[in-house]
Amino acid sequence: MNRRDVFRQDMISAGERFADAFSLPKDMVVNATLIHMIGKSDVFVENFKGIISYTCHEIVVKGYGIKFCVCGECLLIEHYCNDDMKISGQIHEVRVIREA
Amino acid sequence: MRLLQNNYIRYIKGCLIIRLGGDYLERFFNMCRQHDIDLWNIKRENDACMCEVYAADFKKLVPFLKKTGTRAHVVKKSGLPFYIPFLKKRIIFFVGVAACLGMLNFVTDYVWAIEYVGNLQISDDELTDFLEEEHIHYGIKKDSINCEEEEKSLRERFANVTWTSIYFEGTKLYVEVKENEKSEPVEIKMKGTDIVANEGGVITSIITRNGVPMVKAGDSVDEGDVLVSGSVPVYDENLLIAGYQIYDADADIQIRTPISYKDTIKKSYPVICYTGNDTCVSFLEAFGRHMDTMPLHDFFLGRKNSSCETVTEKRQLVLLDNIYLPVYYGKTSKKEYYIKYMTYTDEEMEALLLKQFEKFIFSLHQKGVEIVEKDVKIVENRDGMEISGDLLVLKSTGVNVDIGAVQSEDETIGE
Repeated sequence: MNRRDVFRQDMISAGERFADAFSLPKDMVVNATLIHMIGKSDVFVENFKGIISYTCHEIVVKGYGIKFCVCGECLLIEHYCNDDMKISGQIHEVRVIREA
Repeated sequence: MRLLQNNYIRYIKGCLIIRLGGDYLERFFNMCRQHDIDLWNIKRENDACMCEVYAADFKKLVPFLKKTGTRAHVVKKSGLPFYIPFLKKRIIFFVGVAACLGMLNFVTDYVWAIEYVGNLQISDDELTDFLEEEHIHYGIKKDSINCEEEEKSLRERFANVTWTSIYFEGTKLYVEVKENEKSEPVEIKMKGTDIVANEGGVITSIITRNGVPMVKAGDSVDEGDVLVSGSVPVYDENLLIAGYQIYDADADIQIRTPISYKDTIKKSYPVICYTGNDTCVSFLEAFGRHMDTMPLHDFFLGRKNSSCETVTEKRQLVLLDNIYLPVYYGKTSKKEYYIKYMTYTDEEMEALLLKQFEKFIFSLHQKGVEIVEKDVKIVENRDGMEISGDLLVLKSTGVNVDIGAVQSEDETIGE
């Protein structure tokens, strides 16, 4: 981990502490990706960078500082716009991949 | 909710279903997203990918397609912008539909049928007269009828109406009434009546229940003679008439009286013969105007002055059981005929006359008239045949008339 990453990590943790202290939403303060899952068939994603890969069984989405992978069957992107996206289908697993 | 709104917006703006193919589809999606181009229903199908996009945004995709080497193929167009040319071609149809709806809306503001419910003692004609007095008739605007006021005046007008309701169902006006079923006892007013003879003859029997008999069995009477008097004299101690008690005379009186019977039959009689030129046409009647093709048929069949038997079946147009419209339809059938004169034979004429006479005798029997003697002759005359006869019958007689009326008649005769 170089100095820049250390500084960035410190800033994030400082932001988290700030959000906790003032009861502010963390996703706004530290620019984090927000994932809502409704049941086992719908996933809403907000504040993300884009899609890395898309197949019927797996969608990999790049967020800020993380990637996450939605695995399942018959996956469909119900809408995909600048603010959010919605993935639906038979979701088996949502995996978070931390970026080094 | 947002999804629902999106669906409406998508329909109004128009959208395209496109099939995308290429190696860098993810990059293409991300580029669309960065440039505020909305995509939805993205679905992977083997190597290709189906997605939907607004029709207006499709042109904006071209540089991204080129940049990512993606091929796009429009599978389906949907939404209002693609429907407008279809509408333009059929503008008259849609104008007609709109005009029809407008007309329907206009027509349903008026009353086109009236029905009376629950009236047993009050006839429909009486209720119709009442409504006409209140200026309620077919074709009146619904808003101009104040149902509560009309109900009140209906109750005031008919004393035996205990409850009433006037209401609309569609274009039909219902007048519902409930009548007082317990009829009030009728006050019998004793006016005093005599029984007078209906016809002249010989009295054969008289049984008096009320009043003073003025004749006895075997007396001859003329028409109008008093048979039983309703004025019963009251005597004092000196057997002088102190006054009269007035009653309604009541008696069973049998009279033997002659009746004459006469009937004629003409030798020639008319018979309707149909020519077979029958016409049946449908007609339409709207707002008092009658439309059919009968004049054309009459013209082509050349029956301008010929006699025709016309039968019309007329029905009113009803929507949804209750919306009666001022439009009538039906069928008019015309049967052309001419009158042919046939001639009876003597036997036929005699048979017909006797048949009529038997009917007359039967009707007398049904009325309780007993025939004592009959003398009937059938005579042939210039036009045909004539039956004439004198009957001597035994029948009940007597009709009640006011005492005053008889007395005044007597006084007039006396003077």
